Amino acid sequence: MENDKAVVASSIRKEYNICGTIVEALKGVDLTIYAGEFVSIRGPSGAGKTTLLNIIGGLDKPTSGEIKVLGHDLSKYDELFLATFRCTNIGYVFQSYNLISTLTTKENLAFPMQLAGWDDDRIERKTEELLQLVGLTNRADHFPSQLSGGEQQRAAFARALANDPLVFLADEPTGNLDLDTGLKIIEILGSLKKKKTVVVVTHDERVTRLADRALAMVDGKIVL
Amino acid sequence: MAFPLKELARRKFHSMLTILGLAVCVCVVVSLFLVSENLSVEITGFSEIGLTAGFSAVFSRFILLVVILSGVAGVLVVYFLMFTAVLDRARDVGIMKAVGYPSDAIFQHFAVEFSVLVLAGCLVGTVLGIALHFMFVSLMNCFGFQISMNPFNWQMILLIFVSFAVFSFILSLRLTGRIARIKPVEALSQVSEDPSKQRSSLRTLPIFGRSIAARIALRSLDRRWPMTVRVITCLDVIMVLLTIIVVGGLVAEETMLSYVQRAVGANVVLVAKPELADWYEQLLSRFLQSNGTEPFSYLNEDYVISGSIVSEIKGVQGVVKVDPRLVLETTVEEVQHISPDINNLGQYVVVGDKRSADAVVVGVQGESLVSDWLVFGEKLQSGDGRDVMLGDTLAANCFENPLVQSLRVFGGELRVVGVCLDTLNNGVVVYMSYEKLCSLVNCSGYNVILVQVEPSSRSETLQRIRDSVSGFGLVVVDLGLSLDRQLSYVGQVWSLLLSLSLLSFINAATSLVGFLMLSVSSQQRDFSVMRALGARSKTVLKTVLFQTFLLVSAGALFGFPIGLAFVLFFLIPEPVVSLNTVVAMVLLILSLITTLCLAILYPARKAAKARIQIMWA
Repeated sequence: MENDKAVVASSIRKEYNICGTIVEALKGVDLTIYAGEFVSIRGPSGAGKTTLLNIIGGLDKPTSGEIKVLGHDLSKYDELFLATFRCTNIGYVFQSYNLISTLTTKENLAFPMQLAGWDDDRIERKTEELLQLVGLTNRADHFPSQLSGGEQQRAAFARALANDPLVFLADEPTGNLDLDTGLKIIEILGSLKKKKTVVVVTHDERVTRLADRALAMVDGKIVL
Repeated sequence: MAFPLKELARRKFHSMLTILGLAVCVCVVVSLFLVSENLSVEITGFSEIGLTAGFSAVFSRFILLVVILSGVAGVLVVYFLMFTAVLDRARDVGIMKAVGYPSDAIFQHFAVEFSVLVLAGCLVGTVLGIALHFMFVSLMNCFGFQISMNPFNWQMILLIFVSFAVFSFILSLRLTGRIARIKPVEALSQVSEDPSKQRSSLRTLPIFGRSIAARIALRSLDRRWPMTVRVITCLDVIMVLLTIIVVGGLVAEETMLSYVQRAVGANVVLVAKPELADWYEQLLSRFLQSNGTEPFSYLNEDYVISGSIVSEIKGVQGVVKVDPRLVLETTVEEVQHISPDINNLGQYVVVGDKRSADAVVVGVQGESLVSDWLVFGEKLQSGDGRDVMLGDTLAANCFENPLVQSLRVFGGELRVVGVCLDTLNNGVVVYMSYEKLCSLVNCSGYNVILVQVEPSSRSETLQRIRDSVSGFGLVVVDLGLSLDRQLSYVGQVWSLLLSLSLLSFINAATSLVGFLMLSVSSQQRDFSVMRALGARSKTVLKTVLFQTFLLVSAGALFGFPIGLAFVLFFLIPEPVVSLNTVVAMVLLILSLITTLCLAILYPARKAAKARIQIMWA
């Protein structure tokens, strides 16, 4: 059954040194997420949800403990491996969108595919498909600064799906969206169920209802 | 007052960079000015001792250009750094205005900040410039130069300080006014990075194919176009400055060495009576140092060399040219010239002041000259005995407009047709027709013969000349040693100036690294997103390097030809550019661009290797 486990976190601790003060963001998190499982995480601000998501996504390393994603112990690999791993296996929707400011919407969507070495035709087809999926076809050539918050969120969502990742992570993906757009995103999230391993940090009950498992975090620990 | 100062302290890196940029420029100008005064190569004049007026003029022009360009570069660098500070904080200003902070208070805030930066930069630069000048002169004296420490020209130092402060302050006020007028909505908009909405055509460039680094680099330059334009403008000025220093230095040195060689003549030996030969060598060495001014009896009958000896030397195998001369010293006088006044029709103006000087007067035969001076005006024609050609120092010291004036010597009035760069008697010399000089002094015969020999059989020819003239009590002196001393002297002075100008290179490098560090830090978030999405550190590094290469190349593309034009058309008359110089120029410019690109490696690596979380924290 080991192969079914997409994410295995064992005794994960994460500490930050902020101006000489040690802040414990994660205090021994143990978590197993199976392949194709849809997990939602909620909790108050500062509970460590984003930190946990960053560690699962290979953006950050734990201070101690072990994190295995798709069978790889990410705490042991160097930055070069992690870059390739993120590019090919992880789709991440950041809370603050994080679109590249100097690229257009279309180019932002194409960026992960270019990193993965796809050919131009394939990139073009996939980009069009993604733009249609999130309803941004008419905003393809606009820069992030020319998009609204909701549009940037949708573009970030589409970009996270670009490389068809096995693990999809999203940090408050419906947080800044109006009702209609939020529903559209929830619909897409629903379509990912069973196809990808999804971990979503959210306070949106509609998203939580989609989840196979709803977790809660408080003060750096999973409590539910 | 306290809030702006706290802001400066909070933005330590940016504040220090602005102060450093301005300080280095002020330091370059102050130290160059002070050292050139001590070298007697005044920016606005020339020296009477050590160098001829013509040579000194080239040095002066060089220093003047470097000083002016350092000044322009300094002010531009500071303006650019302030511009980035304003751009960085447009959003903060928007928030301040949105919560009710009045425009006047914002103007005051930035005016205080910029004033502190400008004054600190100018003050530190002036102090450093004075200190550097002391260090430089002491160091050069340790190496065997004899540079005296002249009293300071405090007025000039004050003028440099005030000029830099005023120009920088005026530019900063312009920016302050702009930021104070900004609308809160504009400032708070995320488009604030590109307030003027200017766009370039960089995005349409297809040549960089599919390289992600190249695309991001190009797009980044395009999106930050106002900033890009300012960086390229600064780099242009810096490149002009560097080209003048590097290429100008090389070409000027080679050209000036060629001027000396042309004036003295290559492979030339002197034939004269021993006392006169010694004296002639002293006349040549006055280019290097002031020496005795006691009278010498040139027309002593013992020194006369007859025409038959000249004919005999001409017949010696290996002799290329024989240049017999009558050399003497006398007082010459400037003759006033009356010419129509261009501004007032029917009126006349008097040119000249009847000044006089003790000069060496040389009677020559135009067709047999071994010297090929750089001449302003016309060369001395053999046929017309009424013409004279002046040495450059005599022309500069004693004449207002020599080429329209005449010279009085031995009671005769002769027309000045040309001014030549000559090292004999440090340029205080008059060349005229041999026959005319003979008629004026009422004597005949030569007292000096310059002989140009074949370089391939130099020693044999010298021996043959010695054999043919030894019976007449004449000596043969190789002028190659005098020439070498003069060449080495000019080379040393150039080395001094070029090493001083190295400061400007440091200035350029500091500015560039400063620009690029700011540029990298303002793109930090984008780089971190790229890496979060799976881009390798190498891709970020390549992006930064590609941007740097584009900026430096754009700077070089405009700056290098402008600098080269300055060098060839303004700095040096009749420049000499040998193949070696061209190769050296190309290598230097390439290594310069490479060095400047490599200078960015540290901040680029830092950006590429930083932890993703830290980068967008």
